[in-house]
Amino acid sequence: MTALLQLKNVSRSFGGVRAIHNVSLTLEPGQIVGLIGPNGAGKSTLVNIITGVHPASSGEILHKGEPIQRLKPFQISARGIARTFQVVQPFPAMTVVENVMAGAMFAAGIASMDDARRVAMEHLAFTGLAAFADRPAEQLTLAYRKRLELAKSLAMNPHILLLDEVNAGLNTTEVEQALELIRAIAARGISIVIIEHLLKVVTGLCSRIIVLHHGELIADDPAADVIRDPRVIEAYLGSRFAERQMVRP
Amino acid sequence: MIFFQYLANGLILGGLYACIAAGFSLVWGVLSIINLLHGSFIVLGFYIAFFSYTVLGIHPFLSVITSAIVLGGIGYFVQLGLINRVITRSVLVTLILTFGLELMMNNAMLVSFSADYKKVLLAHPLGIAHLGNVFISLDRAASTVIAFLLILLLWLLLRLTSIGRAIVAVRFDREAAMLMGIDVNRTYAITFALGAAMAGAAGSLLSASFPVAPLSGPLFLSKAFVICVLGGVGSVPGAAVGGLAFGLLESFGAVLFGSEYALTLAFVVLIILLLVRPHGLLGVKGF
Amino acid sequence: MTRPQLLIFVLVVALLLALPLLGNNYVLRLATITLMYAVLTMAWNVVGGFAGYPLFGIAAFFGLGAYSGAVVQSSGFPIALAWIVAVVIGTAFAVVLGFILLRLRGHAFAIATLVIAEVLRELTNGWTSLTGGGMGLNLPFFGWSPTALAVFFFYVMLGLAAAAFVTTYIVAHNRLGFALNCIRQNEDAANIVGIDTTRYKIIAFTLSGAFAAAAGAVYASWTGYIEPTDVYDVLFSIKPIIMALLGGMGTVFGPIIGAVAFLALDELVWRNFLQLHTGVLGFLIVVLILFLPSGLSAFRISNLWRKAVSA
Repeated sequence: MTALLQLKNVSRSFGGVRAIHNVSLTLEPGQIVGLIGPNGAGKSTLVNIITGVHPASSGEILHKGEPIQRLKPFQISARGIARTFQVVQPFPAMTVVENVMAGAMFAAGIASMDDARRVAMEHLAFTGLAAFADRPAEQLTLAYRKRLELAKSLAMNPHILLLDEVNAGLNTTEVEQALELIRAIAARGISIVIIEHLLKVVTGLCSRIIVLHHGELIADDPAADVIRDPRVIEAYLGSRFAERQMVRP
Repeated sequence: MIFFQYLANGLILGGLYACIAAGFSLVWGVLSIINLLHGSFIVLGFYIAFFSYTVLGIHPFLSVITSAIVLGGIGYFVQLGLINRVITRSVLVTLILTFGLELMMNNAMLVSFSADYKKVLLAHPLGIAHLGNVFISLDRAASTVIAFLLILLLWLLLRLTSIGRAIVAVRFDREAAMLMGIDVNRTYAITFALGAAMAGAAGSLLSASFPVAPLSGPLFLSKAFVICVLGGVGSVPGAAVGGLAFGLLESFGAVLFGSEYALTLAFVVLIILLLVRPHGLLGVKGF
Repeated sequence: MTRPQLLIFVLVVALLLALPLLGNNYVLRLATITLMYAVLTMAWNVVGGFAGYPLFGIAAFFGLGAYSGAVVQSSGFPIALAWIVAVVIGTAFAVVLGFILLRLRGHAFAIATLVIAEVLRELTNGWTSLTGGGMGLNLPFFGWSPTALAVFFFYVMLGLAAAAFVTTYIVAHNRLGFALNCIRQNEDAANIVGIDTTRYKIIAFTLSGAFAAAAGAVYASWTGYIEPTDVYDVLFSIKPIIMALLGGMGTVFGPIIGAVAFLALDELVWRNFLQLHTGVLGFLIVVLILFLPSGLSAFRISNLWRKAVSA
């Protein structure tokens, strides 16, 4: 059985800077994978490369066996790979439901606008935003905007969802709620790659963690092992910090 | 060889074009607005030189100074009083505003000076030099030299003076510049004034070499635009290089296609550049 | 549309259809010009209003349509064929140009389109054998009475405006309009959400070009004589923008309201300033930009009308 998503020796340079170097990894269906690393490690860049925003300088990306590294973002979205942005990117003047309809109509390919609206309302209900359906997107608070990003991505009918720092800027309660939502999404059978800074989130949620450092993949192991990996600890702040952050099962 | 004649013509044209484009490029790079008044500023600079000579006998090269001062002043107040109010709004709005102002200025000049093409006929021209088989009009050559000197002056100003460095800072990062205590509005006004001054100077410089009418404004503007794209928006050295390239292009192009197609040729080059380097050329504002 | 909206709409259309009964050629002429500008503004609105790409060179298509139609007509072909050819050429040019220019955004796009119009003017001026160059092109016409001509062209322009309106309405309410709306607000997000932005932008650009070319072709036949500086005049590029700003950019009725308002002002105000005509226009543009940023909707008139007729 071919892997859902496979990266082979993917590299990307901007000018003289090596943002991503020789990254290879495989994603199987139904996994929740954490992607961690210090600032500037290349996590967002990797997501950008997978979704076609930046082309890879070299290497291959295979989606269900099909090479996608040359495809444009809209083509990759249509194939079922969705992502959220660290800095949310809504359509500010459109209503909340219209934002979600965009995902349903284009990436998911729903032809009728009425059908798209219905589907959008379902996703809004799922993410707890149904009450805001006809409000302009720019009126939402940050936590709700993050949920809107999620709803929009879900409307795209993805089987792979890349979450880029979905918890940035949220308080503890909001983080808890976001995690609940992510678990619910995973329960639907969507494979998730979650980029995170909070180790507690990652260890609580993910079965497997990938660590990037200076654009290179330095670890790709089950959660518990990754925390103890000396290279990972070195890349971060030290063993005591790591131990303090780890969730006891 | 006739090649060298065209080369000489092209280089001389190039200097003047560089001067035409430098101010425009600076304003575009720093204020992020395309100043549709630029063409009319050049034309006004021309008329200042024209009337200074015909009425007062002042040589156009001296008028460069008066033009620069007058246009600089006009530019300063136009920016501070009018353009600054809409500078944060969309491209459309700022362009339409400068268009409206340009209509007013153009109409005023048309009414004041009539639509005829005029040119300064020097009573004592510097004459024509012969370098082998190449004929060079010394007046034009002198204009070009002065044009390059002006560009050099501008470049030095940006590099060495505090106001110059403020301009560069604002260009690279407006927010950071504000945090550092730079008065962005005043900087914008000064930049615009500099752009206008360069335009006025250019107008005076070409008064003895080329016939100009109020109608010439839009043509200068179009050429300035293409030169900026060639050389890199916001870059003064870029304007110099772009101007030279454009001058050469026009000189050799006139031979091959006829001088009426100057703009068409430039635009074809522009299109090719866009196709070959679509994001790099116009997306990046070089320095 | 609701019942009252439909009623207003039918009433307006009926009034327009009956206009020739007034027997006043001058009014008919004014109405025809207004309709022409309405078409141009609606054409502009698809690219400039819906997609948010500042198109500053719609005169390029207008002039191209005018000359294409004029050349065909003066070669002895029927007028309808001339107009069809003009639209085809305008459409083809829009597709090609769209591919090249729609990579640009903001200022670069604006000025590039402006320069295209200038370039076309230069080319038309130079190609004397085909276009008559600077001496212009005369169009033959069947010897009808002035009144018959006035009525004929009024109805043609009315038909074109109706077509443009229907197109605008359909675009605004279907996927294309939705996609353009997304592109305008956040093009990067639009790409990510699965919108093939290039394709939709080109479609919008093509619609713009087609209608502008049609307007140009009819204009050429109507006036009977065209020259490059006339049909490629930058004011044909700019006035639609002003009208769209006046009436409300990116709306369905805005372009029409704006065109009517602008030409009413033109007729009542600055037409009387012969020599300073463009200067006064410039002044009014400056005033509009500085003091009425959202156009007539600031006066609520446009808003009320829009509320009355929006679906």
